[in-house]
Amino acid sequence: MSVEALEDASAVRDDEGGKEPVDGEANPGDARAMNGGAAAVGRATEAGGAPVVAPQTVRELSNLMARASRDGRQVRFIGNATSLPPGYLDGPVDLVVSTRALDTVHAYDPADLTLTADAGVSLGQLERVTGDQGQWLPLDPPARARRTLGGVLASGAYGPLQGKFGTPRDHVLGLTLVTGDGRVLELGGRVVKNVAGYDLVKLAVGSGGRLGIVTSATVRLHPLPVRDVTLLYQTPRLALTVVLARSLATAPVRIPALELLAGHGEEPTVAVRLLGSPEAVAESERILNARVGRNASRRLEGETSVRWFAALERFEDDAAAVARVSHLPSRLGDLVEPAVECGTVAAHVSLGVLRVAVSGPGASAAVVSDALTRLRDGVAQAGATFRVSRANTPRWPAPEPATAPGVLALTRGIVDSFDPAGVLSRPAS
Amino acid sequence: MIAKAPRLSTGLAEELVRIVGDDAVITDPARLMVYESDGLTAYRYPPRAVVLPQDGDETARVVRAITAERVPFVARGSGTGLSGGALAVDGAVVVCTARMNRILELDLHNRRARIQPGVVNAHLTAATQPHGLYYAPDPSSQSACSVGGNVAENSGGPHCLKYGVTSRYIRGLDVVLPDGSRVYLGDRGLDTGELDLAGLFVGSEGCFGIAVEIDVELLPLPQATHTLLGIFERLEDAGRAVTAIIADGLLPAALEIIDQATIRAVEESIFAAGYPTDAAAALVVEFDGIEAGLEAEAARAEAACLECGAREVRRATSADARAALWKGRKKAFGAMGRIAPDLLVQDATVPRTRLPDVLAEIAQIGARYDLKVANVFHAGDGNLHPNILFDRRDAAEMERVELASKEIMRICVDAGGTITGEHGVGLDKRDYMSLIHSDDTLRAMESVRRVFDPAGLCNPGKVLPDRIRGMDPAGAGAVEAESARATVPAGAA
Repeated sequence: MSVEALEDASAVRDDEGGKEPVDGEANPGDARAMNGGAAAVGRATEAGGAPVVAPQTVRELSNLMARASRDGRQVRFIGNATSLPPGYLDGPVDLVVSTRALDTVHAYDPADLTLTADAGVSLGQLERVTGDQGQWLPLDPPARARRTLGGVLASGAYGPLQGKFGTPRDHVLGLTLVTGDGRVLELGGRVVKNVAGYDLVKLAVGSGGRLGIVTSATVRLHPLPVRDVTLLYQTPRLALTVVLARSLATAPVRIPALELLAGHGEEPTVAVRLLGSPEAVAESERILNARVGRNASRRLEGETSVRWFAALERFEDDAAAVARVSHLPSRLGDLVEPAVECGTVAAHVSLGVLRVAVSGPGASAAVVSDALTRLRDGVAQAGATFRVSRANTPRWPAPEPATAPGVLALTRGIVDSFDPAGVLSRPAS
Repeated sequence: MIAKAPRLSTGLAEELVRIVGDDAVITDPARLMVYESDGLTAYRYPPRAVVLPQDGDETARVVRAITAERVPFVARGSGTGLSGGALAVDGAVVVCTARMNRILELDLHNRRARIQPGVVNAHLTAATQPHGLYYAPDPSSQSACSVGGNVAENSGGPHCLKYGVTSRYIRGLDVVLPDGSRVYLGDRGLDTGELDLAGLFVGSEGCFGIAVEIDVELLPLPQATHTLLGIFERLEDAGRAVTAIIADGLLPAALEIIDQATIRAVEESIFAAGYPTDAAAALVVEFDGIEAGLEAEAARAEAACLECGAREVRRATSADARAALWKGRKKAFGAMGRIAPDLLVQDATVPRTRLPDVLAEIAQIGARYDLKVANVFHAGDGNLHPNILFDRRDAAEMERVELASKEIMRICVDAGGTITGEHGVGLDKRDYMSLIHSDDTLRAMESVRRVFDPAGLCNPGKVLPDRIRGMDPAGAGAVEAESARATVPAGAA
């Protein structure tokens, strides 16, 4: 099944309220029988595509997983299908479960700065709901607005704001997970501090759908900052930009977002986003400019600052493939040079993670795979990890990073305990 | 509750001495008494022996030697835990990390440190401060507790309102698993797409193995700090002030309340901090960060306190003056020793907006059981510490303490909260776990525990209720059989 087909399916929902089936609709009778009563809402356009079902309740979903587990059917999960990992829907898949019918915000208590919502609610929807109360969920993964809460939690995806606010694991207080065999587990809670038992929330977040499907979650919100300023420092030379970025990263100021962009059709750029009170933002700006001995090339404030970083959320949208390269932040310089040879680079400077967007939408598989291979080999010399997080080509030559045997054994044991019949992932070969 | 430990076999004793040297193996019953309790003094379990390895290699060999004889073991840091998590249940051998107290690497460029687990929390910050950095999690016991212990408990502290708890700052863990093998969990901050095993390990209360090297993230020191102390006539007004400050969009670094019973205990002790003893509550509010913005934020917080009925707000910016405002809060636990010989430090979290109701109910429970309850708590997080004062020699009072504790847990759970915010479940709260978790969830926890510790020798008897331990986690048959058993009344068989 192709990702495009699923994106079409989600587009139907966005534009027409989610009631219209997509092309090649499954025979509802067949799908219902197989899916424990959940109505099939679509089928991918490609021959052999699995039916897509959208359970309306957790119970329905639990029954469906219990049945799939008993019958040994391969199941995969999607939200709005904006950012599925490459290969996720490849191979024999019997059923795709969509969270689109789980789309309610259940509880929002602004005074407690917490919100509980279904997995199918998009971050864009959450932004509207919380924005009215002067609050936000400071989580800005690629394609943020279209992504569902469940999808973001499953993937663990994050963006520039991790510099201050952390990754999805740091935002989630609790969640409901339906396991591979249909157990409904309420993990964590709704309060901001909770150490009652092993932290299975951390395990579920970022597990890539290998343990089960997140059906709802409670997240911690923050007050919207009074002042939002973006500083853009541009230099003609990449090496200089790296030095500047590292100098900012080690300044005695906590920077909410610090990004380096290169190969994007402009001069290499360092982007700094500052959030807080007007006085604190102005003072941070002064400290940072003094540290690098110059003023920013451009200064954006308020809505324009928000928009600049919102545009960066679309960095991966048109790429044929996206690779993620990471190393210690101090090694940034060793990675940026080879990376910019292979594509457009956006780096989370203080984390040491580079995203490399390779080629445009029309690029051939050969071109994409050649660029990825060069990138992998280029950064391997520096000792960095490399993985492909998105690819529109069916094959790419870059292997996943090797996992240590001890970690692999633990991972397998854990995955088996949540998905004993192995319906959510094929065992690693 | 004093259990008797079995003796260490001669063979194992010799093997342990071979690995760590004879000065690092304790078997003398008199010396073992130090290790029979932790910060939760109501329980005593003398260990079979105590071993003090110096590094990860020694720890791995020690664990292999112990488990080869099917003897259980438990890791222990500084012994400041408040839930009995490090107690040597089942005649366990204590593997104490106290000698593993070296900072192995300070990587200033990347704001990280690699440390051994026995490093004392405050020592890490002291070592990094000269470089403009610090380690953010600051449990109240930070001058004694070890970072390894903080990892086991996922410890919080007054400043985690703004900065988050321990798990936020752990980049990776070099762990000795219960079978003695060694594995690196986490990604050192890298982006690997693996399961978050480091996140899972943090807060696993020593049941998944022993972290022998810890990679932590450090933060730049805040440029400045402003502290306020609000004095209130009514406890609920202080609670309302907390809500008002948050509603104003402020995010203080700390929001702490101490109640009248605690204020009086402090003021009557050698720690007297100058808090008025007729006040019903004192609220400590702290802001940190860039100097320029703090004055305005402190002014807004002061206004919020006054609007909520504070009769006085004191402000401080210098280190000495701030320390004076904090003194009553920081010395609260020490001061309570004046009131009663024993203190049960309770720990639960409720949604912040429920604080006033829950505090009122706790006061009623205390009155009903004729117990002194003194509250010191992280109000911004809704993390309560109702401290019950008692004398353990009074058996009837002990029983009332037990009943009152249970009721307090129940009302916190009913308010949408949880049974522990930062002290952990340990031995103490295993039986409360069913108040908040379904058996399915508890069994899922048990099955994950078994992945790490299939032999069941690592910190036995902790976190999960006994009826869950060893149960088959999945499979409808097992599930039904277990729930059927759980519903049979005791004695019916």
